[in-house]
Amino acid sequence: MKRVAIVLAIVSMLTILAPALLTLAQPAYTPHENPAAIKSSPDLVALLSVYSDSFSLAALGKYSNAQSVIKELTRANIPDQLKGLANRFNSLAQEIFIRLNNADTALDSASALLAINQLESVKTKLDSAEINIREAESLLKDIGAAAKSLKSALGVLAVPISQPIESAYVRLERSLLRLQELIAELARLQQSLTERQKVKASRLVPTELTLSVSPISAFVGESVTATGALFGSVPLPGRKVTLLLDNEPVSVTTQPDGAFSAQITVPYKYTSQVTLRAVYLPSGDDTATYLAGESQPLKITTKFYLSQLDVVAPKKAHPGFPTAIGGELSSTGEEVERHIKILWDNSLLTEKRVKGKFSFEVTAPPDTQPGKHTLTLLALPQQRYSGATEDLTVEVTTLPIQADIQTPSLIVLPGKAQVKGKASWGTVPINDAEVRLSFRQSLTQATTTADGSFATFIDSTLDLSLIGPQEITISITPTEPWYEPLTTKKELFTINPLNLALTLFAFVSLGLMVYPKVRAGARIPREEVISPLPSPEPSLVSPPPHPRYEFVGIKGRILAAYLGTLEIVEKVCQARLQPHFTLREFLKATASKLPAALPPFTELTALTELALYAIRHLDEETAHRAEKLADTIKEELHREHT
Amino acid sequence: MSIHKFLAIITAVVLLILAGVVWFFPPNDDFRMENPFWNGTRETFTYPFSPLKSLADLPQGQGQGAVLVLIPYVDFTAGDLEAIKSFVTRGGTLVLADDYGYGNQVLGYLGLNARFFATPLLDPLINYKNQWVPSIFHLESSPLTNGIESLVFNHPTALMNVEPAATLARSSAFSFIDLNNDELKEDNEPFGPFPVISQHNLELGQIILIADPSLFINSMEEMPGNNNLVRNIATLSATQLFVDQSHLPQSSLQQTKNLMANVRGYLTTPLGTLGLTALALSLTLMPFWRERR
Repeated sequence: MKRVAIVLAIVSMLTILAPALLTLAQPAYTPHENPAAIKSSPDLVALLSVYSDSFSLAALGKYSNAQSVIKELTRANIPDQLKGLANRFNSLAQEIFIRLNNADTALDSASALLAINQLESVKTKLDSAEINIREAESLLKDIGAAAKSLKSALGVLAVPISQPIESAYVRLERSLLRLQELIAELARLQQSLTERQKVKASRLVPTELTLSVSPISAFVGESVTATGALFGSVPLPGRKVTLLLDNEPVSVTTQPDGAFSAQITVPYKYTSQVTLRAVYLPSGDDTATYLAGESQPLKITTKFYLSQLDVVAPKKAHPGFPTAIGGELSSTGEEVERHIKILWDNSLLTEKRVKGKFSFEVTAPPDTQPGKHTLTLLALPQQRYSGATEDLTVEVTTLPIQADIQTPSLIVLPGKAQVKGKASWGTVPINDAEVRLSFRQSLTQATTTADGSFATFIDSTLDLSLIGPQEITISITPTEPWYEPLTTKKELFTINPLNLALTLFAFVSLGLMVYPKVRAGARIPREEVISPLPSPEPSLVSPPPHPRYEFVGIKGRILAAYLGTLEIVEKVCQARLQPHFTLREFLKATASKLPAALPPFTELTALTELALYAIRHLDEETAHRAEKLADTIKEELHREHT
Repeated sequence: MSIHKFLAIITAVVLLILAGVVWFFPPNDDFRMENPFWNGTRETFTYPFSPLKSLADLPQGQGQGAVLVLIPYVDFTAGDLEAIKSFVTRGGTLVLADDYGYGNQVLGYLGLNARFFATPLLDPLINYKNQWVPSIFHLESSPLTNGIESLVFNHPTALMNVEPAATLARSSAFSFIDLNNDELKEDNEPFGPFPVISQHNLELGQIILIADPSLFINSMEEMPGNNNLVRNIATLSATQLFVDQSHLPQSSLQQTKNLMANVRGYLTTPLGTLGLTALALSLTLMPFWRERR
């Protein structure tokens, strides 16, 4: 008992400690939590901090960084009650950053233009800066009010308002102050530049530039002649004038009479016209004397052959499968050989040389996913011929294959079974396709031949199954990417004769063991108890008498001895052997009233139980002993009651 | 009936009931493909993904193009690491999804510079419900991120030493690495964005690093984008898709299940079947034999 207790204690300790050992082997952090059980807890302090950070960035002139931060906030996890206010705050912040950026850029440009005496442009830039600064001032007031509203709203959500929220709000207020200082600084700069612009305008001599071009119309790539002259109060010789053809600069120097002339090539820009203008920017000593000058812009009409690309292509394609496309590349000029690029989802697929009508094959990349894709044909511009492009939407699909699989209707385990089949797409056989057959725990591979057929054997090992249907999975993967891999399942009827035989053997053995006992058990009562004798009708008031039996054999003699004694004992003790009583229970019930006859009646009861329930056969001596005990009991009871 | 017989019968009945419960009750271990509960991956890794019981079973053919999803929560033996390296260098694709496990052991053996931070990445603003469940919106265009607008991670970490060109997904600018695990942004804790998915080439194969294996669990599969990521992983291979089960932590239930599966596996061999039948016959015929004696 002591040993059992020790073993139980050790087992209990191990059971308690085992989960702890498992826990030790786990990662240091929780790998995940159930998203359905997660309580939403937006970080309001972080939200305020991000606003103050973005305003601080803007105060440092990093407007695009500040804009990025606010843009990212649009995806933030913000409580529904705050979303409207936060969105308004975000849009105000974005607007002020744009205004400040515009003002800053305009002032920078104005400053640069002022340095080269381009006073007209300076004025435009300064006006723009002024408008933006005024807007920024107005927006800052709105943001200040919105920040107060945001604080109140956060206070409602976090009652009482926490120290971290209060601190974050103070930081936000400080960053807004810095932004206010920046706006004031920009306004001061704008004022200063305006003053300088006015001073220069009153002191410097204006300049005048004339410009003409001939011819006024030319093919792309051809040259035109630009002529003009630069005057101050007098013609200005030896000055550098910049000709800007669609902002592409060409420099010329003025002649002694202030005139200039230059050959300019019309760029390969396939637009209807380009703009030419001349600009004079004072340099050296001129910066203290002359203002910058600019000619009126001139329009040069450009000529070129307009190209048109018409493409006919099927609406559907398959990965890796060549598709024929055709079309025509036409133009208003002579027909020449042109270079075409073919793009698949904006990636170069192939290049072709075509002249007029064309037809060729394009192949969608083998790894293309099913779905809609874009096929682009791009005719490159060539000399006087403009470029052309055509986008086509192509739906990529894979071709479903069919398989005719032949499996045996019956498989005997363990063993091999042949599986044959043929894979095709319509009438086209699928060759070199990989065939994988998965049956129970075995995997077999095969390859289809030129006519799409395959034949292989599947192995089936011995297991605990007896008889019944089992599933085989066949998957066919063609090498051609345009075919869709196929997976199919079939049921095979299997018989496992060895297991069947073993099971049968087990049942037969069991039957052989059990059957004789069942038979013996059934025979004994039939041998010993012949038939009940008819008993008199029971009276209504007294209990029914015991049925009378005629006993034969050893067991019969023992039972007869007991029954003979039983009647006397019932009478003497005035107790009846009820149907639900066992013999022992009856013995116990009558023991107190049979002082002298108790030992023999106890022994007789035991012998009777043996006769009724024991498997072993009883001998003659036992029967004799039972009868003797019955006589003894009768004598004892008779003596006691006389 | 004697007390010994009674105890033997009770023990046998209890053992049988326990064995039945263990056999039929689904496992509840993290990331298990048989686990249908919130933390399993049965709903995520459906056909054509198949479980891999041992890395020794990986296909090693040249240019075989198979995909292996590896969640490294148990450390690796030298043999395991060599099997992974051989698989990748011969053309396989390794999807290594880790946060706080043994992913860096694999990366070190493969000779990559990239590493898992192995400390939590928190995002107090761009998240699903709280900072432990960050939303990932910054995705580069690639076959792996095709058709995905956002992903939701669950208790992730981040990647480090990843070139910008190799980065496929980044956390938001508000995310940070919680180095001291106090759930607050400290001055010494770096701000995002951090790479959370990256792609690297190694000889003929490629390695995809994901800084959170939990986006594969059943309950995360309903999040927008997460199921598309699994679909895109499936399209990386036209041949075989494996999900390693040999480096996942095992509960007592799972260990018992494995033990029972091993026993069953042994019994299904010819020798085992014969042995079982012989045992059954011996037990059945024992009383008969005793009586004869």
